[in-house]
Amino acid sequence: MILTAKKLAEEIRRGSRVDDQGIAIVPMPDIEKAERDGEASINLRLGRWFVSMRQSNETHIETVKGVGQFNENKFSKKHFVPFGENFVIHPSRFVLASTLEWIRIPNRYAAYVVGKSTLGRRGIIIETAAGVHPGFSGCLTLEIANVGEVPIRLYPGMMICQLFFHALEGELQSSNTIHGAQRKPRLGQLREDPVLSKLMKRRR
Amino acid sequence: MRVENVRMLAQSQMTLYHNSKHKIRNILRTIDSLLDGDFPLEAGRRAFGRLRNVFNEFEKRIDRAKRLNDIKTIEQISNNINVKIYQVLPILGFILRSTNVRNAFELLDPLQSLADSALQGNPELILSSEWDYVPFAYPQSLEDLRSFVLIGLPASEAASALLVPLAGHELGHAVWRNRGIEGSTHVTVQYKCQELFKKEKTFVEFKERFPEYDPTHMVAKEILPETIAQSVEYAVFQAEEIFCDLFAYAVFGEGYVHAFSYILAPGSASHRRSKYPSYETRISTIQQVAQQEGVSLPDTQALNFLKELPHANARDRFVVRIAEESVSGVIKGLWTKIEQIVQEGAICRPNDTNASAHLREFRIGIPTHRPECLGDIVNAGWRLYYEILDSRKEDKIPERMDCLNEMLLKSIEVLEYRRRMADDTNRKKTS
Repeated sequence: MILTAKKLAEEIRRGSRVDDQGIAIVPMPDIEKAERDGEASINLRLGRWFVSMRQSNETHIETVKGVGQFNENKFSKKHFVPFGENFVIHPSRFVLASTLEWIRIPNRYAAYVVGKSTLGRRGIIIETAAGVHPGFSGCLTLEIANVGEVPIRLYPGMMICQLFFHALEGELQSSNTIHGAQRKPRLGQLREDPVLSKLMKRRR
Repeated sequence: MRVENVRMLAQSQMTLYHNSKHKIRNILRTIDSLLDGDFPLEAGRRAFGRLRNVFNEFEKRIDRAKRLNDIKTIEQISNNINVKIYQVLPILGFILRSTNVRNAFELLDPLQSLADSALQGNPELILSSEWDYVPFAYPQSLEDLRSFVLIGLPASEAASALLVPLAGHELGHAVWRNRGIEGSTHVTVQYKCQELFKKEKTFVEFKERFPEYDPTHMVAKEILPETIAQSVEYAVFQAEEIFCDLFAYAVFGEGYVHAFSYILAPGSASHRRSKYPSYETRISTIQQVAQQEGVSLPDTQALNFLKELPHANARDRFVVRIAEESVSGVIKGLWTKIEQIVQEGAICRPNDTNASAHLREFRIGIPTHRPECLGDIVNAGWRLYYEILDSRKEDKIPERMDCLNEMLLKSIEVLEYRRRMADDTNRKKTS
C-alpha cells in the first residue's frame, strides 16, 4: 500500500519530532506542497558529492565477494560540486550521486526511488537499486546515467528523484541494511553469497 | 677592467635576467595548472589569481630594468623573485590541498560565516588539510594575501567534524591580529611584567638568578633588560594562545576542550614549551570562564593530560613564571574583548538545550533537522562520542563513530541549507 501525501506528511512531521517510528527526512522537504498537490511521493534533491568512473590499471570490476583481488576504488573518482555550480554528465556516461536529504525509514515502511519524468525525457535515468529497505538511514546513492545524445548539466540542490513509501504487511523485528549512514555516494560492499559460493565450486 | 672580463660580467647578468624570467614562467605555469582544478569555494581560485599578479608584476619590473640596462636593479629583482617563490610555493601547496576531496567541504560555509562575523574587512577563508599534525593558521599576515585566512587541519583528521573547534582556535589567531588585540596586549603584559619585577620578592629572586643585571635599572624603567624582554615575549605568545582558546570556547563551548584533548592528550611529560601556556593553565582558564557562565568542564586530568615538567633551569623557570603571572592579569580583559566581538558580530553561541535536542536526533540515527549553531552540532556530537565509548560494545565503536561523523557533517550541511533559505527570505523581505 502506497502512502498518500497526507499520511506521508503526518509521518514526516512525526519523524521531525524525533520519534523513531516516524519517517525522518533531513533537511525536511516541502511537505505542505506535497499535501496541497495530493502527491503520493516526496521529491528529493541532488547532493553535492559525486563519484565518477575512471580508467585505471585494474582490468575489471568484480561483482562477487571473495573472488580475486582488486581495488575497485581505483575505478572511482570523488567530486564535490558546490551549490550554484554544476556537474556535466556526457552521453553514455554514468555517475554516482547522493540525495541531499538524509532519510531514515522506520521498520513499518519501505520505499522505492523513481526518477523524475522531466529529467527522464531529457535523457537522465536514475538507475538506482530502487528498493529502500525498512530501517535504512542515510543519504540514498543514485546511479545516474545519461542515455540521451547531448551532455546534460546537473545542479546540486535540484530535484532529482522521488520516493514512494509503502507500508509493510507483517511485523519486522529489525533490519540490517549495509549501505546506510553515509552522506556520500559509494560503490558499497558486496555481500557474501553462500549459495553462489557453493555453485561456483569446481568438481575435482 | 679587461674587455674580456666586462663581456663575461655582462653575460652573467644577462644569464641572471633570463634565469629569473624562466623562473617566473615556470611559477606562472604552475599556478595556471593549479587553476585548472576544481575549487569548493572561489576563495582558493582568487588567492591563486592574486599570487599570479605578484609574479606578473615582477616580470614587468625586471623587463623594465633590462630595457634600462640597470644591472643593480636586475640583481635586486632577481633576488626578490627567489624570495617570493620561496615564500609562495608552500602557500600554493596549501591552497591545492584545500581542494582535495579528503576535506569535509561542508565545514566551509559555517566557518566562512564565522570569519565574516569575527573579522573586519571581507575575509576569505581557505580551509586545507596539511601534512602536519598540528593545526595552524596563516592569519592575514601574508602580504600578498592580506584578506585571506588560511587554516590547516591535519590531513588524517581533515574530515573529522568533531575537530572543527580547532579551526575556531586557529581563526582566533586571525582575530588576534585583525582586531589589533596583539598590540594592546603587548603593552599591558609588558607593564604587568615590570610591575611584577618591582615586587620585593621577585626583585630578590631576580638578583639571585641574574646577578649580571642591575635590577635598579629596570625599576627605574630606564632599561628593559634582555630578561624581562624574554618574559614579555613569552607572555605575548601565551596570551595569544589563551585568547584563541577562549575564542574557540566562546564559539564552540565544551566541544573545544574535547577536541583539544583528542588532538594533544596525553602530551609529553617532558619539559614544557615556554611560548605556550601549560595544558593545565589553558584548560583551567577555559574552565574558570565557563564556570562563570554556569558551564562545567572537565579538568586536565579528566581530559587525560599528563602533568608537564617545569624547566630544569632555574633562570628559565623564573622567566616563564613572570610571563605566566603577567598573562593571568590580562585574561579578564581578553574575555571581555571576545564577548564584545561575539556581540558585535552576532555570533551564535552554543547552548545546552540545543545540544541536548540534537543529541536525541543523533541517538536515533538522523542528522539534526533544525540546527542554529555549529557549536551545538559539535557539542551534541561529542556527547554521543562519549556515549559510544561508554557503551562497551567495542566491536561496534568504529562503525558507530563513522556514522556519527556522517550525521555531524550532514547536520552542518543542513545549517548551510537553512542559512541559504533564510538569506533568500530576508532578501525578499528587504526588496
